[in-house]
Amino acid sequence: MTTARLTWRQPSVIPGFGITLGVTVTWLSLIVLIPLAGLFLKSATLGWGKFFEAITSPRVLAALEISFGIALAAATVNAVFGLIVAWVLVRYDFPGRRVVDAIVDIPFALPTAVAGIALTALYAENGWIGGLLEPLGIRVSFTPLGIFVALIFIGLPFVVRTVQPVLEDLEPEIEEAAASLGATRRQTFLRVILPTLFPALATGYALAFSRAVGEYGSVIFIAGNMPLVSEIAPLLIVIRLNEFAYAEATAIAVAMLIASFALLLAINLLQRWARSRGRG
Amino acid sequence: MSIDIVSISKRFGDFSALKEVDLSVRKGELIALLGPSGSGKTTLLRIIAGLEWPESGDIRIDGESAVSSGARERRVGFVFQHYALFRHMTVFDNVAFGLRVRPKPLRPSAVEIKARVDELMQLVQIDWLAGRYPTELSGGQRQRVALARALAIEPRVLLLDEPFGALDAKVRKELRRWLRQLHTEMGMTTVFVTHDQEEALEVADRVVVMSQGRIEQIGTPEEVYAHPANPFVYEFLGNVNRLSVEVRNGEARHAGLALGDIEGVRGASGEAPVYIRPHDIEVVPSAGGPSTDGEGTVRFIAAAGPTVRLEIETPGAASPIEVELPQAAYRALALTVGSRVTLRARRGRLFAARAA
Repeated sequence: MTTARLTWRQPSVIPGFGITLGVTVTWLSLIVLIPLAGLFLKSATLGWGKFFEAITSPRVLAALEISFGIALAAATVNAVFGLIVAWVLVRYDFPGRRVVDAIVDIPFALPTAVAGIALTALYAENGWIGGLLEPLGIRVSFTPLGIFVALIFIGLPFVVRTVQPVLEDLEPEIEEAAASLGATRRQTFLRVILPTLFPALATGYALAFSRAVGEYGSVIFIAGNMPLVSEIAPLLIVIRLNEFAYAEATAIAVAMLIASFALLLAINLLQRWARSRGRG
Repeated sequence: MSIDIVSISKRFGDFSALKEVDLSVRKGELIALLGPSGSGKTTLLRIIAGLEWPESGDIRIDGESAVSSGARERRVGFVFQHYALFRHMTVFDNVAFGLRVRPKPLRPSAVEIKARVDELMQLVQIDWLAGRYPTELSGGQRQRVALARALAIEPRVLLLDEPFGALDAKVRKELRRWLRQLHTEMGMTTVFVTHDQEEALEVADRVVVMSQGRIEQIGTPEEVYAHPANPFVYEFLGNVNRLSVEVRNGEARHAGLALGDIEGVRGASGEAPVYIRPHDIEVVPSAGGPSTDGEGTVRFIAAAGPTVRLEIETPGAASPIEVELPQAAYRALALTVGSRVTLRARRGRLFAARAA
């Protein structure tokens, strides 16, 4: 009985399973798992009581609420507008299309501090856009609205770049079929195109959200950083570090980590549900 | 419903896809648009469906001009070559789509939709697949779903673009017989596009042979096969030998074989091409001796199948002459590669130098 060897890997003609898995596990441990474990260990030095105290203080709760609430809102806006941008880039051929396509990547490449300063200057009361909004009573720089603008900026490419390839693969026949069956443009979009794009859109949403929750560089310039009003959780972590309160800082980090994980898990489950209906 | 295509032209940039095409499809007819790729057959089908707009000309469905209305208003069932099923929907939802997107006042109730979809799925024999997704189906099953989906809107005409093009040979054969039978049952005016002459000749009531944006011939399968209108149709429909002959005093002569009844000889003179089907050539073993006029040598024999195909080299023809014999006749002749034979063409068709 040599053939019935107990094994947990599928026989395959692709070589190198052992070595690539080994590299993957080692690499992930070094880069992700060990630092995260250290984070949990450090926050554990506080003990349960202190830990809860650290993360339930009004200032921390406000910061977490701002970080997650605005990140979710920004990812939602990005999902809508990112879809439109991807649509325009894929569906229409216009002069300057390649330039627009390249512009989408700028938030990836620009140092976030530069983006933050640029946005602050634009949206300040005397800035180009801020000056227009001021008479309407809308203030962006140094308010939570400023955080919102910065998070939209840094999250935009994620949705565009995840939706774009799927949209490119969408055969035009699908839409022609819908039209010949009597569907209006609106019905075709809502019933045929959007459900097909949904898994990709959810991925882009999750990426934009994760990026926004952790964003620091651009936000601290535009937010004004008023405790309880426009102070984000990552900034609070830095403040605690500057106070040498390392354990408290890691406690906030752990709280963020768990909340992010829960949200990403939810998005993933939603995506899996959508994909199981489409399979492919 | 009848379809009248009146002088339709269509260009794509510099390429002229259709050149003033006229075609009338009678009510309840099953028509095949047959031609090589680039002949304009799919473009014509898409224009009838409203998925493409002609530069000039008119389309009348049941006498009523449809050229200004879009695909949505035409109520034309269209089946795509690659099915174009909605992959996030089950088979049932795919078939029900056309009914569910109707405007409120015309939309059947959920119960009526269910009954109608069940009935259609039974008709195309996929009722047991109702809950599956398209990616879980075979090609033939997907094509049936696409057909049921197109039929759900009670179309005035049914259009199919290379409906069996992406299927393997066996499923193809089965599906086209089934389509023929379905058409007999429902009697819906149907136009399908194909590049497979066997498919067109077997399934259609009438065949429209197209080439380079023009219709070359319209006729029943027997007509177009037995009496091709021009060399293109001859060469496109089935195998044919093309021989250059010498016409003198109203008689065609060829060094390689004796010519029997050749159409189109009258009025021609000089060098002209003659088209002869491989099964219209008679083979007689030569009786040794010095080679005579009309003699050749068997170079190749393909003996599998109901007919036996021979390739015979003759001094008069540049390429070998193809001959098809029934199995029984082949066995009676006891031919082998290298046998000397005499050939006689029973019938053929001469085309005087083609007016381009």
